[in-house]
Amino acid sequence: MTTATAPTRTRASIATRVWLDISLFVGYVLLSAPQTTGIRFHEWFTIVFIPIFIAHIVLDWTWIKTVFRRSDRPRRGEVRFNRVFDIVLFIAMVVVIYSGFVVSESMLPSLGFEPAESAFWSTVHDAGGNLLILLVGIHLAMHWPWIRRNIGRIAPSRRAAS
Amino acid sequence: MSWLRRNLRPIAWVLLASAAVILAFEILDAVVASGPPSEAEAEEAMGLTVAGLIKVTLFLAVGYGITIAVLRGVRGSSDSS
Repeated sequence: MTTATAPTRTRASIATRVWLDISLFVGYVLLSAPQTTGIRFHEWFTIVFIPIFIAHIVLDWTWIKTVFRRSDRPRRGEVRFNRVFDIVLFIAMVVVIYSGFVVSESMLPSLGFEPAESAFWSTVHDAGGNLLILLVGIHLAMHWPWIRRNIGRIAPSRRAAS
Repeated sequence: MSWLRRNLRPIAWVLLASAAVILAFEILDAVVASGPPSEAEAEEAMGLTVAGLIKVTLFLAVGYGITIAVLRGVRGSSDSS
């Protein structure tokens, strides 16, 4: 996903990844503003968001393997940072999603489950959610060259098609 | 279905790692042993509609801005050395 060496990919797979990442970003922004979208949407849309989130990781699996593979050559600072940061980001995302289910006010009750009233999970969800927005901002900045380059790559083919 | 079959391994890793994270936090919850949230916490979730989007934009921008500044600083110092 970034400037680290990755095997050459086809144009189609890059386009898939870019569109998936755009969907992930838009979905994430919508999820991060429950005050705007409403708690019902906030909780049910997570069901749509989770497969997109998993697909985002799976489609970048080659890059992840490259970054985490042992190497004799010293890694660039950016790559070393991403290695640690992306683990932190993954943990934060999983925790925020899971805690959201635990403290669900709309989805679980409508499915007949009694939501857990937990100050721990409530705090984790609120604080983790705020922290996550900051982390996603950093993640976007770290991978900005990739995003800019590949949005540019898919844009001309769209113009040609029309 | 073939995409799922081809990517079964990374998907399994993602799910396994997620389960490990959740388990760790469940253990943490058991250690902390918390009660129900206070009314103030519950009310806190009800904010203004626009404020929600402003917060997201602001936080994303702050994270992005800090990182870009740090990256430029780091690249600038390594270029001059």
